[in-house]
Amino acid sequence: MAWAKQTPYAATTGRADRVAQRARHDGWKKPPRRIEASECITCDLCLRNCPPEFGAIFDRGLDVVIVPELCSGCPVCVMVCPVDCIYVDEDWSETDPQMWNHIELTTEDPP
Amino acid sequence: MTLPIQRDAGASRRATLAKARQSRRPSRLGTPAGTADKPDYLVPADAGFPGLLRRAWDLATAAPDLPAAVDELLTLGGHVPAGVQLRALRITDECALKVLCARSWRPDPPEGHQAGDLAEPPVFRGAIGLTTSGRIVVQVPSRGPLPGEEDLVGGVLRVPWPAAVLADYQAELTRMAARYAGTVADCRAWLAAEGPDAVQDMLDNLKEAALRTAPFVLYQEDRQYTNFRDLNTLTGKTLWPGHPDCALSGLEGVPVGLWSDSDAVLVVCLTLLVRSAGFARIEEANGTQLTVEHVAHLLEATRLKYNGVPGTQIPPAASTRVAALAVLAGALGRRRRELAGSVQLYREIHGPLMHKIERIAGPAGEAASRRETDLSARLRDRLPVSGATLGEIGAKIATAPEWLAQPHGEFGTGLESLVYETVRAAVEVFDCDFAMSRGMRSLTALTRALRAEDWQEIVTWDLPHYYCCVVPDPRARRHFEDSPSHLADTAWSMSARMQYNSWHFIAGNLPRTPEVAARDFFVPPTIPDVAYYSDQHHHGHVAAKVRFSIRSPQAVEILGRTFNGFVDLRLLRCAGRPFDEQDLLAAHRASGFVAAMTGLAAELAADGAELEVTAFDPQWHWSTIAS
Repeated sequence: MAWAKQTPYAATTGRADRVAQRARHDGWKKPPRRIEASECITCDLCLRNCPPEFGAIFDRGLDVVIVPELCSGCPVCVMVCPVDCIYVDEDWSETDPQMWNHIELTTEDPP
Repeated sequence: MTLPIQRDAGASRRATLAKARQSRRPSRLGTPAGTADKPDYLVPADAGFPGLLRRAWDLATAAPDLPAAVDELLTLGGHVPAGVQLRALRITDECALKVLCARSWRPDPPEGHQAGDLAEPPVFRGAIGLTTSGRIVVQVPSRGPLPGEEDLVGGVLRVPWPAAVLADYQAELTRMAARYAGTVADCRAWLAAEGPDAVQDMLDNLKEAALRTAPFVLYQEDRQYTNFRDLNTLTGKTLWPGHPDCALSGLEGVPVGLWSDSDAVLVVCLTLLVRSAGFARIEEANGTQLTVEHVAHLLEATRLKYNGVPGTQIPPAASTRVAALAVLAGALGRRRRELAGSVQLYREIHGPLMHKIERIAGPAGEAASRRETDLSARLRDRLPVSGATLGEIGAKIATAPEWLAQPHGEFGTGLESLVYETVRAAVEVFDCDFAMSRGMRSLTALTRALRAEDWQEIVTWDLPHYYCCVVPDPRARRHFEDSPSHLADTAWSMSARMQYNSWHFIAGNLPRTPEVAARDFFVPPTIPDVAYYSDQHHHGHVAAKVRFSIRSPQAVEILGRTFNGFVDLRLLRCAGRPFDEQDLLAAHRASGFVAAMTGLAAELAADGAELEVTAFDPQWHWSTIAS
C-alpha cells in the first residue's frame, strides 16, 4: 500500500535491527498475529494503522500479511479490523527471503 | 492515538477504545475482537481461480481430440472468451496452435486455413500445458519439456507433429518473428523521436496509471507485468512508487538504448492504450500479450464500435506503425469523450482473467422499463413518494426534499430510508442474491470540509466515515450453508469492503495537493460494468460467491464539485444466470436515482441540516438479516 510505505517508519533502531537480523524481539512475550486470507477483505486498515515502530503489515499480491518477526502482538490491527479476521499466531513460521528483500527497502531513506 | 473505528469524533477516548475492543463481525458482536480461536469461514486453498484451472485442465484431458482440448483451455471450460486466451499466447505458441488446430485471434489467416493432418507419422513430439496463470503453453521445437520450464496446472497433453506441420510452423514462425522484430524497431525509433523528456513523462504517467488503476495483468512473451496476483512487477498495492521491482520504475534514468525490447514495447503499448481512453483502457488488454499488433487490434475494434454511433467517423490507422496508431489512439480518446455524453458506455468484465471489454449499450427496451416500473412501484408503496418512473419520483422529491434530512420510519433520516428501500426493491426486481449501495455517512461534515477546502481532513477520513447498505434475499442463505449468521457476516464483509471502495475513490475527486497525492486512491469509476464469473477472482469474491454482478457507480455534485463514483448500486448473483445489458441499464437508472437524492440531501446539508447516515453498521446488518 503505497501511501503507508511512503510514510517513514519510526526512526528507532529497533525495527531496523529486527529487519536486519530477520528475527523477533526477544522481549516480546505475546505471539504475533496473522490475517486469515479466507476472511480478509483487503481493506488495508490494519496496514494503515500498524504502529510505525513495528511496521509489520504488508500487501503481498492478493493478500495482506503480517510479518511475524516484526509483529509484537499488540492489538491495534485487531481493533481496527472491520471483519475481525486477525488471529493470534502461536505457530508462526519464518518469513521467506524474497519477502525480506522487499521489507528491507522500508528501512532505507526515501528517495 | 485515534483509531478509525467510528466516525463520531465527539466520543471520549475511553468510549472509542472500548468500542474498538469489540468485534465488528455481526455474529461475534459483544465479544472481544481478535480472541476467536479459529476462523469461521475457511475456504479451500484451491477455491476460485486455481480450482477453475484444474477443472479446465480435466476437461481438456477428457476431450476427444486436440482442437476440442484446446478449446476447453482457451475458454477455461466455458468461463472466458477464447479470443482473450488466444491473444495471451507467446509467438511460438500462437504459431503452433495455428498450424496444429487452426486457432488464431488474427483476422489475417488465409481464408479456410486448415490445421495440419496430425494423423501422419510424427517427426517431433511436442506437448501442450496450462500454466497456473491460466495461459496455454506449447512445447515447440527448440523449447524444452514444459514441466521443467513452466508452472503447470496438471501434466501435459502430448502432441505429435508430422513433417508437414513442422514445415508450416517454420514458415509461420519466420513470418511472425520478422513482424515482431519490425515492431520492436518501430517502437525504439518512435521513443527516440519523442525524446528523453517525453519518455520520462510517459513513465510518470504509466506509473500513475498502475498505481491508481488495478488490476493489470499483461504479458510480453514469458514476462508477466502485474500489480495483482502472482509475483508483482508493476507499481500497485504491493510495490509502492519507486520500488525497484516495478518494471516501469526500473526504467527511470536508464537510456532507452539500454532498455530490453520488451521494455520498449511495453512503454509504447501502454502509452497508446492510455491515449485512447485514459488509464482504464489498459484493463482491456488484461490477460493478453502486449505487442504493437495486439494493441492495433484492440484500437481497431474500438474504432469500429465507436463508428457504429452516428456522428464523427474515425478513419482507420494509416498503417500499423506506432506513429499511425498514436494518431488513431488520440482520435479514439477524443471521440470517447464525445460519446460519454450521448450513449451509455459500460464494461463487460471476465473475472477469471480480469479482462474488460468496453461496450456501447443499445437503447433501454421493454425489459429495462419493466424493471424500473416495478422498482418505482415498490418505492411508492414504502416511501412518501409518487410518480410512475424513477425520474418522476425524483422530480417530485426535489420539490420538497426536506424529509430526506428528517427521521423516517426506523431510520434517522429519509435518505437512509430511501437508500434501504431502493436496495431492498432491487433485490426483488432484479432477482438478486444481494444488492447494495454505498456512500458517505456525513454529508454535513463533507460540505463543511469542502467550504473550508480542508482536503487534508477529507483524505484522513477512513472506512467508518462511509456506509454501505447490503440487503440479501433471505433465500441466499442456501449459498452459505443455510446459515443466517453466515449470510449476515457475508453481507457485512461486503459492506465493509464497499466502504473501502468509497474511501479509495474519494481522494481522486479532490485537487492534487501534496496530502491528496500522497494518499492511496484509485481513479473513481464513471461507467457501469457487468461481470461474469468474478467468483474466480480473489479471496473476497470467492468467499462471498460474487459470481455475476453489476456495478453502477454515479457521480454526485456537492457544492459545485463533481464526485465521481460517490454512490453506486451493486447487484449480485451467487449462481444461476448472469445479468444482461437491460439489467445494467435499469440498474444504472436506479443508481442515478440514489445519486440524485444524495445530491438533494447534500444541498440540505450545505444549507445547514445535520445529515448523517447512522444505520448500516454491523448491528443493523445482524438485526435485519440474522435476527
